[in-house]
Amino acid sequence: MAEADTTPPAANALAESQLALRDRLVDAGRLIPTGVAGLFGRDVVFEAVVSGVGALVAAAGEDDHPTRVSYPPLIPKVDFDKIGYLRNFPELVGPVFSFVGDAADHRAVVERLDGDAPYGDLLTQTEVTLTPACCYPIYPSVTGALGAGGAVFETCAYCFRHEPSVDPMRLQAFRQHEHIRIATPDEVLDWRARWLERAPELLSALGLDVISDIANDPFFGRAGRLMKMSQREQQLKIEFLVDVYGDEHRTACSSINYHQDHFGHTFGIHTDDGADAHSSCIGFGLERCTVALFNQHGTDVAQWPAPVRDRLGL
Amino acid sequence: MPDHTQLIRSVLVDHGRLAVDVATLSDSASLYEAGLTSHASVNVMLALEDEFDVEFPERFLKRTTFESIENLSVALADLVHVDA
Repeated sequence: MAEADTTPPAANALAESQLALRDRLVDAGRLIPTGVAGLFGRDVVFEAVVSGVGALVAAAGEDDHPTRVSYPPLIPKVDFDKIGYLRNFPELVGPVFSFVGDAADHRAVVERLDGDAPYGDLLTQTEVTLTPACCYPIYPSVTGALGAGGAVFETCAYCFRHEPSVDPMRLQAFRQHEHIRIATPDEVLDWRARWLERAPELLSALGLDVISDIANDPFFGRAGRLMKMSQREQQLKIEFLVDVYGDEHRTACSSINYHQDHFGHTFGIHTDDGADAHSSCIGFGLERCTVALFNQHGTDVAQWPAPVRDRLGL
Repeated sequence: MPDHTQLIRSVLVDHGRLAVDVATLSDSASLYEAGLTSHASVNVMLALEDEFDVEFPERFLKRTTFESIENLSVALADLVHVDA
């Protein structure tokens, strides 16, 4: 007897909408499938929208005179471990492994390869990890005393999170464009208050239906449940959610996190008074914004409303 | 109700990462005001679970449980009692 399908109808309907949007983007040539869920190539039109959104995110924070830095999509394993990512989000991590060994060790790997067998256990963990959030390399770089007024950074990089999905709004490899504030608690909260207005303005000016809501990160396990509750009770994470699959299934295109002294303490960043610095970051998922725009205005950019095209420089 | 406060205090010394000496805090003093962070409260919870051989159920996984030594003591009295 066939097992009964226990998936709730709503979940099925959501998955169908996600597949339909993915197929629409693939059929139009915007996304190029690779055979792995959540891993796509992008065409020149898709990239033009990504660049347009990135330029708007940069412009929105220009008044804060951020220091612009770029990092590869890798961070040292030692920093990744200090941040606690493996502790909090074990199923999302992307540590990099490579081969270290002699000819006999290599023969063992090739034997597995030829036998189409898994070979991960024969590889050795390297000193780098795929970056899950593009601000992570910045905190270790500012160890020590901050000058008066603290620091503001801006950065953009590809990020990796292992969450294969049919949803084109949830990719395994995607770009984040972030602004980061590291300073005293008051300075960080002032900065955050400004972005709580800027972020929804930026997204709604592109014709997206956006709301702000208190959220939590997907902390793992029972200890994670306490972290989630604590994050919500203190309103440390605010998401800017767009309507792509219906009002009840909104997706965050951007979020702002207040880390309190987590990074300041972890990496020994101090304010003028000697206290651990506080930090906050706002990140925009460039692919999420782009996919939401294609969903909203269609896959043919030429048909988009003129004001939206103007804003994005298309 | 058994007095768990001494054991709670020693767990806070080892795992609480507080900005002040635990001995100077009253049972009702706010641990958050004393510098208890979210990450540290998770470590305190895990250490208390080991010490008391209990598991904090979902209803206790909130900030108020970890607000003070008194609140932790009340929660643990409930859990230890149930387990006994």
